[in-house]
Amino acid sequence: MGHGRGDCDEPGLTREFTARMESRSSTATLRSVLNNRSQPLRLKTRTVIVLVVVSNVLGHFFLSRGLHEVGPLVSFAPWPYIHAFLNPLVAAGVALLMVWLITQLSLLSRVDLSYVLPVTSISYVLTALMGKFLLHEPVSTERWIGIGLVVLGVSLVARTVPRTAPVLYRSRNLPYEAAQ
Amino acid sequence: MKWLLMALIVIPGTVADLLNTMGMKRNGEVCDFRPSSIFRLIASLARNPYVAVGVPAMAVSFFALMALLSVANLSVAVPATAFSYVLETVLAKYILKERIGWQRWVGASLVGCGVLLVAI
Repeated sequence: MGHGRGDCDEPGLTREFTARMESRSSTATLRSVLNNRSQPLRLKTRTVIVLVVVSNVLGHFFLSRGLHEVGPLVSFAPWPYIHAFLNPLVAAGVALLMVWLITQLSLLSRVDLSYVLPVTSISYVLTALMGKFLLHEPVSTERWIGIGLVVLGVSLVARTVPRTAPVLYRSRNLPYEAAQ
Repeated sequence: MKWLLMALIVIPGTVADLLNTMGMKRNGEVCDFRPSSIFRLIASLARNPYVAVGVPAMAVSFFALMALLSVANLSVAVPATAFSYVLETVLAKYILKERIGWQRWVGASLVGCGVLLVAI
């Protein structure tokens, strides 16, 4: 058990590259290792955080606008909900919230819960700013103070080491690790 | 009614976050974001008991929030979610064994207070 940084390291690629370097392969071979077409699409933890926040803010934004168009949903029958999905704004909102769920779970697989929750709460600030600049909603003094406190809290937590929880298992969704 | 909905927001929401974190830590780090790998990830998560309970619990919390928002205004609904920042930090320390220094304690408290003010 160790403590990772929460950024996936690249054991497979690095190992193959080092092995080729040591066996004095040609530059072309080395380049082909780096440009390997079956390379996984790696994202930095920072990028995943941005995706979580953006999909959350836009997902809720589209969903609430769409549901406003559809009208109140107070029914236990499935038909009104299916009807709501036909609204493009509702469908876009739901699709974005599915992206949010996958990215949020991926983030939790890499870093601490006590890091994820405060850091992703920057979405409250984005929602408030979007209300001000896109919808021209007024922002009260209390809300500005709130925005300031959230930003301060997020910047404090963002300075900590993202992962302190023990690493239980290595990645299960990397293709070449399964082959090793 | 309001208290019941508030409990239905905080308790399943907190349980969902803890279970999802446990499940995802057991799954291993998600490193590959190609669509094919994401589909494989979803298939393996469907068989992960922690996530299989965590995600529905998250849905319960989400629908309870929607229901509360439809009968009460935001200033009633949000204190519950703001309180959960500190609660979940405490639980992350004791249940998930995360190491929480002063920066995280102060940060989580500031965020909780900030969210409260932003929503009012």
